[in-house]
Amino acid sequence: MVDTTMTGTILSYTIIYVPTPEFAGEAPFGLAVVETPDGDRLLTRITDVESVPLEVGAKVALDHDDAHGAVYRVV
Amino acid sequence: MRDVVIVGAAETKFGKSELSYRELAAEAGRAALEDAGATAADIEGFFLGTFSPGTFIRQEHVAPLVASELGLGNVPSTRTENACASGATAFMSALFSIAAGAADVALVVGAEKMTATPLAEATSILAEAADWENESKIGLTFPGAYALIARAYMTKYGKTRDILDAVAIKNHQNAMGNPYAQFHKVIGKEDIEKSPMIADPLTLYDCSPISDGAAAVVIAAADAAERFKRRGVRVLGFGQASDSLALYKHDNLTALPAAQHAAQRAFRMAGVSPQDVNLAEVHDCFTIAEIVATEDLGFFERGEGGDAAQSGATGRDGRIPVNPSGGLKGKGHPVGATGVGQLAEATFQLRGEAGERQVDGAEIALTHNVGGSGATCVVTILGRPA
Repeated sequence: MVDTTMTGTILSYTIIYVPTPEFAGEAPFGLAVVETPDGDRLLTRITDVESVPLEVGAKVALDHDDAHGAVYRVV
Repeated sequence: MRDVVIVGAAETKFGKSELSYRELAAEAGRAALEDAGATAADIEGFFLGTFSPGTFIRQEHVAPLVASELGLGNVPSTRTENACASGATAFMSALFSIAAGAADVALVVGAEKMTATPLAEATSILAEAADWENESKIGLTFPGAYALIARAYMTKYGKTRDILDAVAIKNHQNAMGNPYAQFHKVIGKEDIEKSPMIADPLTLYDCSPISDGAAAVVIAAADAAERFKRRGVRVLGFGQASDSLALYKHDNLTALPAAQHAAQRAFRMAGVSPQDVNLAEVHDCFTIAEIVATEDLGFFERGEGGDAAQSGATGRDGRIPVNPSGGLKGKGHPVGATGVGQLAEATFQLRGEAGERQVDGAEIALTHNVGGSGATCVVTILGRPA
């Protein structure tokens, strides 16, 4: 079970426009290196990047957990 | 260690080739032997750097395959795989075999056949060199990994994509003088502006291409090299280092820590400093990679590598010419061939035989070959024939 209060800060991000074939239907999608308050780092999907622009330093919170692992959103 | 010299070097043209994998590898190997004035009978060890022939062309166990094609008989043959640094790793293995006294003369070939595979599948195969569990499984591609570096770098140092454009334009220009290069096409900012986004902020022109190709060098113990027709290019120093496959685990997102470690080892062994280097062939798999490399190697301060590309400091007539061959961007990137191709190019430069792309008075050259997003790095420092 993932703790839904998990938060973090974007250290860097990208939006993938040309994915590997298994993700062909999902592009464009956001990915970010996120640092948690404990100093841990993870690479994670960021949801809704069309409506909420990504930015280095932006705060994120866990949105949900799916086949892509933990998916965060900019808050 | 025994002193080692490069007595022969060759490359095939990079790009889309009608030749098969074994034909490409053998063509480069034979040409390097001929360049050295050597025959198959001189070779006591064979090393093949290659990334993924098993997936690209359904053929593994390729070292004896190519050795046999070259008529090397029962010579021991070994394949090395370290993603895009497979070629330089083969060179290192050959050096060690000579250092250990197992061989006096060795042949190193790097090869890859990529264009027979559909592009989407090739992207997947390349992604296998990333950390599948932590990166590829959620959709990170290699352009995506370097896009993370580019975004972190541009944010930290307040740069725009003008620095990336400068690298792409320079390397395409440099490739014009290279008969082995995949691209002979000058590009400008307007071409880059029109090119499709691959992984924001990287567009098509920030990425090296999918290529076929092979390269080879013949190396020998200096005390066994007099029988060859050319005076050898001297191996002054080398360094190899590793890091986590997953980019996000690196200590620094705006550098490749393994490249810094490899460079420090190579410079210490060679007894030279970055200021002594006359030209560098660096692993510009993406434009941002060249900028970061010029900082990791100590040519420029942190945050100044992009400015250096824009100012012309890394141009052929600049303070430190970087990728006079056109680099991976302009010359092409047949993965396993790349590291060996860099060594071949450095050899041509140090012998004064690089034609239109010759860096005048080149005495010391450096090569920098990277696997993945910096999980393997090999740096080699070479000196003009004595």
